[in-house]
Amino acid sequence: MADDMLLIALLLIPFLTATLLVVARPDKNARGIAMMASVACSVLVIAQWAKFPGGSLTFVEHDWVPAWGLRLLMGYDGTGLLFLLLTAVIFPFIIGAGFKQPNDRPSLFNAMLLFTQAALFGVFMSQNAFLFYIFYELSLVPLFFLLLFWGSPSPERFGDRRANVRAITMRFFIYTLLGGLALLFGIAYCVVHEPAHNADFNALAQLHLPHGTQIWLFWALFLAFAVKLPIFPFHSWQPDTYTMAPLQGTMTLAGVLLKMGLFGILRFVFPIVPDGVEFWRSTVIWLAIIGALYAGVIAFRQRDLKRLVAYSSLSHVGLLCAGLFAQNSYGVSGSLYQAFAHAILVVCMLYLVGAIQSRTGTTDLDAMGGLKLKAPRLAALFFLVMINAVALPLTQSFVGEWLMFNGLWQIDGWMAFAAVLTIILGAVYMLFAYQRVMLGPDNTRLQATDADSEDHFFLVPLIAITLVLGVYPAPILHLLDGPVQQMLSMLH
Amino acid sequence: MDGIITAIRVVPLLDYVVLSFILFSIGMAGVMFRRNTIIILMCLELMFNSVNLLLAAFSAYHSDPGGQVFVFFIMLVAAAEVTVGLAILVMMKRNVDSVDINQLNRLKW
Amino acid sequence: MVTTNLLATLVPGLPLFGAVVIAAMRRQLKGNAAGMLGTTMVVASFVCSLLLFLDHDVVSVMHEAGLHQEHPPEGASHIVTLFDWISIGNMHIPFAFQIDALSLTMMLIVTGIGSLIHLYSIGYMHDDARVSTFFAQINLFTFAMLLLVMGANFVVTFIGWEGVGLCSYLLIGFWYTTPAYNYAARKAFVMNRIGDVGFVLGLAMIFHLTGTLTYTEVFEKAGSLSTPVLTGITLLLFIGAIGKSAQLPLFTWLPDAMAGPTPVSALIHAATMVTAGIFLIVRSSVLFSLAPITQDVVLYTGLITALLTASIGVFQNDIKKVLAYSTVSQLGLMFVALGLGAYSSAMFHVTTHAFFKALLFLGAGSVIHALGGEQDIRKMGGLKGVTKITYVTFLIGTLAIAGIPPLSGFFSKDAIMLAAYERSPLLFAATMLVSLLTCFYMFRLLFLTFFGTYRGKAHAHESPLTMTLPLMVLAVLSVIGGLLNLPHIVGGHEPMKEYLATAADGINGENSDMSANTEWMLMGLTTVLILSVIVLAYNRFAKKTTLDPEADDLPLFSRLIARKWMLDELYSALIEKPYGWFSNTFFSVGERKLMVPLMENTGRWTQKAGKAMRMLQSGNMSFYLFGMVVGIIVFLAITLYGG
Repeated sequence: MADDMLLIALLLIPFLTATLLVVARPDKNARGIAMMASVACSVLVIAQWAKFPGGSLTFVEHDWVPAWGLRLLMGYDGTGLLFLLLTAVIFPFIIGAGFKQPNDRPSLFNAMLLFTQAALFGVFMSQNAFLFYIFYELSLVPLFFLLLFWGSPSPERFGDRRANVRAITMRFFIYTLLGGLALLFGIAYCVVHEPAHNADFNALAQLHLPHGTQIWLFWALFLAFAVKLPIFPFHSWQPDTYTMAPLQGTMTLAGVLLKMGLFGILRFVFPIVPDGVEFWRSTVIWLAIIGALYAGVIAFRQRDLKRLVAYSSLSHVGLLCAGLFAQNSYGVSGSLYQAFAHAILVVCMLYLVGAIQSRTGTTDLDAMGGLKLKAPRLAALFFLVMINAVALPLTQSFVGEWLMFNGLWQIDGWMAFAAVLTIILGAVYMLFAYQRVMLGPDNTRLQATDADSEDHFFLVPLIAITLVLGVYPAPILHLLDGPVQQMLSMLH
Repeated sequence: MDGIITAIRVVPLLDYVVLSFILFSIGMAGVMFRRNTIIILMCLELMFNSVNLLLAAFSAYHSDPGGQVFVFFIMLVAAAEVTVGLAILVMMKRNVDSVDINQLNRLKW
Repeated sequence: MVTTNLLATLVPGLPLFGAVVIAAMRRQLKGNAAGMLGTTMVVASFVCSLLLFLDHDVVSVMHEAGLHQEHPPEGASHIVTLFDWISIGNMHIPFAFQIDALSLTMMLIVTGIGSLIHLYSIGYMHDDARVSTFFAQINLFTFAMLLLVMGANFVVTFIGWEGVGLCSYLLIGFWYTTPAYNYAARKAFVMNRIGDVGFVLGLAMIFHLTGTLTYTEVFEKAGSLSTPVLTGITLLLFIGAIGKSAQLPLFTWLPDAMAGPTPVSALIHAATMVTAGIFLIVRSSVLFSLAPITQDVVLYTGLITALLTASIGVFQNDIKKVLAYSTVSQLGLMFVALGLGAYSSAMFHVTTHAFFKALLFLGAGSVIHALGGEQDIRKMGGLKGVTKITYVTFLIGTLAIAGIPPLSGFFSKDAIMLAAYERSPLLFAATMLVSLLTCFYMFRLLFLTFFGTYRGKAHAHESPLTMTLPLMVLAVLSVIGGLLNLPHIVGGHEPMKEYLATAADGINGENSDMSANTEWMLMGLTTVLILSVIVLAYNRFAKKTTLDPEADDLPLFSRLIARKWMLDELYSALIEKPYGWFSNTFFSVGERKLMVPLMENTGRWTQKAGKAMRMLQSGNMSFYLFGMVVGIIVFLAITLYGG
């Protein structure tokens, strides 16, 4: 199969399958069909990865709206491929996580997931700003429905009186959309000032805007991604949304969707407004690190396990953003590597939340304890996921965090110091959560079953990936080295 | 055809402009300030025709037949528009038993 | 070369293999099978280390190259590179081992003592339902500890550093149904993490300044770094060492860590893991030697810790807690040695301490085992008749740690005290005080446990051979361990120092110019004082028939010491409680009162603006038209006249 067909197939397989699911509503087989589609995509992407020669590849090139100089331009380079790989690897697991979840409309639900996947593939393959924007906003639509129809408010005992699915969904939607509008404005501004009115990333990267313009344009371009990631103080949609969303929705949001933010920063912010980045760099890094610490502190005393995961994700993401803005090869590669690690980590964590919830009937940490007595295998799996979460060496997270800390030190020792403090906070809240769920005497006296074959089928491959890539990170680092060096050489 | 053009050119262009401006203003004032829908429709026609007059005049002075083509086009559209407008008017009379335009403000939010 | 590589891979590989196999098959392995497998792996690893040690005869290399030269000769260290681990930009971190005198010494200690403790654990953990898990974890620990000592760069060492922390966490909380144990495990991990912050930052700083993290390359470039920079690096590394080796202000986790099974306390929290900090500093001795300020910090931190914890040890009634405080105190002494630049003396003390402290812990374990889990020494007594082997070996351990010549502890402690005397007599007096306190509480422990009459209720019995055999081996080692580094004054030629000098720069520089007379005099003084302390302890404790009072009934000052100088309470009030408060407040105020309302108010303001704008949509056609016309006129006016 030709490469351009392959890329189109990546968009079409999930899209058409989703449409089929919506139209035919095969409720009994919906999960299986969706699974097959996403596995097919994974196979395609992994095949591409295996023969990736390096450099930047463009596969699809068509005129789109010639009058505006818009072109359909799709392809990827090493970083793009990393994100494609991440999406392709994670989605079968996200869909697989639903096999045990009760669901009244599985066809629609899985269709929404597949629509999201198609949009994500689109985002990561776009080489044109408008195309990117369209896919970027498109991914919001299925997610909106996922949240609205399948979201469940957290119980009021967690001190959350605003636990209203509609309100939270709207908050998420509007916040993200507003960020998106700023981005659209930014893109439009750039395209107008580009001599050929060309919105290709390559053309926009050549746009040398005046220093003063870059300084304000930075925020127009960055805001969307700052909200999407999210970094402090644009995060207030995140914990509630993660807590309220259906399990797989949260997995999609935290595992893949927020990676669009990193990707966007790489594609838009760094090449188009380098002076702006230079000007705002320390502000953004400090915001990100403050957010990481702030969320890490909050996570410690959360009673709701899912909300705890939400805050831990917020903490990790702050670090990702800080590493990226360090703008040296260690910071950027570390951040991208960690993005991969974080995707796997957060999906595992959320799966565990689901597994624990299905056994104890709650996500309230105060009502748990001693689960290890009943479910030692589940505890072992939780533990293995946890050592990745606290970034112990020889897990994937360590490689990413280690590189980021080094990258930050190259900028400023104090930044590195503040960032490294997260490893304490991470250990504090993760171990505390583990203790409250798994250890201690048996508080619940439930007839909880141990991890079954499905749990193993889901978690073991992901844990294996984190360990293998922690011991031997070269395949991914090798993928990143070229594009990152190239990008940095363009900046300096 | 030339005769008509010559005839038109007898009157200075400015007079046409002034006349159509006056006609247009009358029509607009009528639309704006009258409440009777029939009168509003008629005032609309008046505005159309003021524009037509101007188009015809400029067309003659510039020797460009395009303007007169537009006049015909507008007349056609105006006829269609009056048909629809009168139909709405009849329906309005039937439904609310009045031709007061302010009776139709129910679509406001 | 091939065999060296293979052996070097096998040394950590075998325990890892053991850990994985036991963990995977923990349900199939019945009875002693897991223990046997785990022990075999560590013994095999020890054999490999021994082969490497014999193969790697650097001392003869040294003699050929001429002793006492500035730098270690070529061939003194051998690098085994397995694969490229992290490689990006200019950062190349291979997964590599460095085989030299220092790592070999540590490897022999870890696998040697480790083998004995594994063997002991077979008996000790025999009745536990999760014995397989225990062996998997303790094998994993051995693997991590070996990575730590064998790493050829700071990052591989850091893998081991974190790995041993993890295993320590697992094993302290091994009996996970007791919340207090879980708390102790968590405390250990978090306090180690605080140290790790320093470690990671130190590494980042080294990399930033030298562009490499490989030991040999860093040390080559160390000379070109300025003193403030070196001070910064070494202080950061020292913070890491403080966490792992339980020094002030982070030592409070180690006594709590005694919650784990006793073999764990012996292996991890006495013989090996806690010496990682000392190992790190000896490994980086090049950097530390160039940073005098750091050396002073190391010296005084060690000294204060040693004094403080030795004083606490006097008032402890839990047999393992006494030993734990003793460990912290001895580690403090080792840091004093490091601060004085006496790296080989510190390593010597690490070695002998590993022998006798492992012995003491295992002996204590044997006592606890004999009494069915009783750990309070006030409820023991008179055990010397019942548990003969344990008593004799425990006595040897106590004599060794107290520093009675010619046992191993005497020589290693004496080396440190002599180095202290060279700096200043006051320092010597302080270290002397530490060793007298050590002697006092150790003999208090011994007399209360084995002398007098039995004050408990459980039926006492001697432990099985798997437990007593390691005790006997360790007792022999404790006796003859001094030979490893016999000082010149008694006819030795300090072989360990010579050996280590091939690995660590700066060891050659520690030759003392003290006269033999002074040395003899100090040794004599020490011995006489120690003997008198033993007599004192004997009179107070040996004939005891009644229980000591509870800590709360002690006089005020003693109560303060018995309560660990209130450090736990202090940390709780200063760190734990405020942290919880911050966590709650950030959530309830920062998030719920500030962040979320801020955004929801944005929505509310939009709604209000919408309501205001709605007034314009009156539904009055004329008004709309009027607006339109006015708009057109304004627009026209702007276009025509504004331009």
